[in-house]
Amino acid sequence: MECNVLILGAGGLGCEILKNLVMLNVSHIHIIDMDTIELTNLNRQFLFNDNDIGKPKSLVASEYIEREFNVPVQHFVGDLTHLDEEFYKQFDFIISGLDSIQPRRFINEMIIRIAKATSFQKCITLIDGGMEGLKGHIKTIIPGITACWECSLSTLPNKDASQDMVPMCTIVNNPRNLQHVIEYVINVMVPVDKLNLDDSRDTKLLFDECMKRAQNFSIDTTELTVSYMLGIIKRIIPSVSTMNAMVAAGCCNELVKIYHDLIVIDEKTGSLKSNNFTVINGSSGCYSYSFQFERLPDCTVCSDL
Amino acid sequence: MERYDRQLRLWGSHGQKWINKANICIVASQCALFQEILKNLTLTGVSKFTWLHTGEIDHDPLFYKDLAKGLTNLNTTVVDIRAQNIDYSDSAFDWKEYTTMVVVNANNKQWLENILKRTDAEMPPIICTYTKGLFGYSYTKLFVPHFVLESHPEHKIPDLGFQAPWPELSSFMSSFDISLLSSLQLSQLPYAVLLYKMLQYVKDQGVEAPSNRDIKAALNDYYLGEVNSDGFNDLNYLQAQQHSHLSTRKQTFDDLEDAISCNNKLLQSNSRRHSLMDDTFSCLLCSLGIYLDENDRNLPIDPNIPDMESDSTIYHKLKLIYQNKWQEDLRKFENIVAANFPALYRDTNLDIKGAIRLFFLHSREIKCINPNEIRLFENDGVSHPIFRQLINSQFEMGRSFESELIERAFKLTSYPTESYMGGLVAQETIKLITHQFEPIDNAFIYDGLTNNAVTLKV
Ligand SMILES: [Zn+2]
Repeated sequence: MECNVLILGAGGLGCEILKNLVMLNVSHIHIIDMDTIELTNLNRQFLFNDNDIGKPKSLVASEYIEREFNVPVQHFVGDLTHLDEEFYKQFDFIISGLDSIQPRRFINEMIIRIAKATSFQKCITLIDGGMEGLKGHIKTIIPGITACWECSLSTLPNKDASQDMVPMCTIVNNPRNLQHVIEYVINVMVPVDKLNLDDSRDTKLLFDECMKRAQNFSIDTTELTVSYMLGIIKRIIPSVSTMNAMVAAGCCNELVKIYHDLIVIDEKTGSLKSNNFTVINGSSGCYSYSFQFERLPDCTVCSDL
Repeated sequence: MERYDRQLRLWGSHGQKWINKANICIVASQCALFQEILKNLTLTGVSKFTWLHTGEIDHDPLFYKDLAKGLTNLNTTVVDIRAQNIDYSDSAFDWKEYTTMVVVNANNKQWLENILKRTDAEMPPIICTYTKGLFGYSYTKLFVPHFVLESHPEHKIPDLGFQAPWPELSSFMSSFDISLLSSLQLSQLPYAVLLYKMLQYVKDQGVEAPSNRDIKAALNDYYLGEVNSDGFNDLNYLQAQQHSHLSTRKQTFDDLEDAISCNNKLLQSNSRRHSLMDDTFSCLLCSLGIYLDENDRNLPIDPNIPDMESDSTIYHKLKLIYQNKWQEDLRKFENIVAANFPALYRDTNLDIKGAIRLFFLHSREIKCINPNEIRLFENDGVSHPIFRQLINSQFEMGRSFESELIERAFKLTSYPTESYMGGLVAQETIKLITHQFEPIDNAFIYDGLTNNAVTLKV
């Protein structure tokens, strides 16, 4: 496939997306990630092994592909929000396997801006994959034709809703469970931004404080382990190779369809007739639902496109 | 943190233990879909495979040119793949030692039909899968019922146990003399207390089973009218309003009752699979049936009550009452297991106490998936057009396309489709191995053209 594709993130989704693009013979592949490899990545990030821990993800991933397939992959180690229009303009597709919202909003705005500035001479398709446990989503964004990422922002589940609902007074005066205890320790006692959560001495310190406070309030500590505590502090989301592969594959088939002209665009209105938004949930059977997400007329990013 | 941390958060270390022990048989040629399934299973921690090679040479591009080398380092142990050529005429092949079987892109229709139509109870579940273009399907064949022990429902409805209150709960509730408490003290009571008191108030007025709507009104009348007219904005009162239905909710557990009676039938006829896991769970399910018989069919209390806005000391006392009651129920259950299945109870090969505890803790999530008649190859068995198309293509039975678009999507070669189905089939395999999460019952069709997947029962 003759096209220039950028992969955002070389984590679980990124490794799968990279493999799929190589197997699709995509001619120019680029991958960017700022993170280094950790042990807990290895249950799904199959381009890495134990010897790679600590090395930059995008570097090791591209080396794997170059070694096994003799295909060049351009890699970048760094923050994608530090790159400019000139850089992003070279791509036909951007596939994102990120786990946070801000860089997604950045890249969405970037492709809309490029489409505007070039009067649609350069129209980059953004395909966004996301996952959490046995759930995932795939969004396809074609500037001016489909809803943009910002248009769909309101559909995001408010992950912190349950936590936000715990009033501060509960956390300070009436903690009733481990979550309340941990929130207190990191918000009031030992501000977490002053600590290095990858340092076992720092996590031990936090852990001891949590244990002490839980015992003071007679809260059951059977479940309290370092891993449990870090799960809450880092808001760790579960992930597994299987759903990871499904979401990444769904993203790559979006590219295949657009490349081979298998999506339907209404000739008259110029709007998309195919579905651009897919959710998958594999925890009870496997449910996958796809629909057309309409553009928001008053979207702050794409409404004047 | 450990390597499997991110997936242990889904199925726990007990789930992981079954994955590490699993023995999977895969019937396949060296094709992309086979490699993807193997890769995903290896990543989750499966390391024991038998590969029955069907001998075809596929022209798919392959990610692993050297499969064994590619899979090295994907998990913590040595991945053991026993490869042998399949003998389609071997009727004595020992299937029963496998946890699950996966059949990939099979084209020997007669052989597959014979396997799927077997009636011996010792057959492991079989997942058949096939892909073409932007489409693929998986079909799960069970020969005996499959018990899901932890279905992990997304929304758990708490059970406060008010239908059958036990002495400790009642005396805790009556320890609060509502009329003597100040507004501040009232605002610090967990909503369970408000609901319990309201129920008593309703009963005193002669209403035995108020409806959900009446309950909300009664809570209003009782709490704001009789107890604390300033309390309408208190968090505990608002929570009581929100959860008022819990006070009269009669928990139903049809799925569990089905599973128990189904298991009892299997035990009587002895038509079931024999493995450490199957035997253990079968005994535990039977014991749970006895437990329910002896306890007016009341489920064990749920020890994990939800958080309730309240003073931490009071909440802690309340929580302890539920936990102690659960411990007591657990001891009763353990005694039933010990009395009825002494050999299992003394088995040192597994952490039986741990297994009993987990089983009992999740007893509300138990489900039974029944075996299905195989109608895959009958003309009217599969009516879904894409499913039909896939089966026709798999066994070279001719094709006709609904539209030009579908035809093009069908004739395309797209590695991501293999990757998608490889993920799905591995995921279903893990569900069957761990007895956690509900497996697909029974066919799943991936339509990469519209991204609408369909689940069907054939
Ligand atoms: Zn928009």
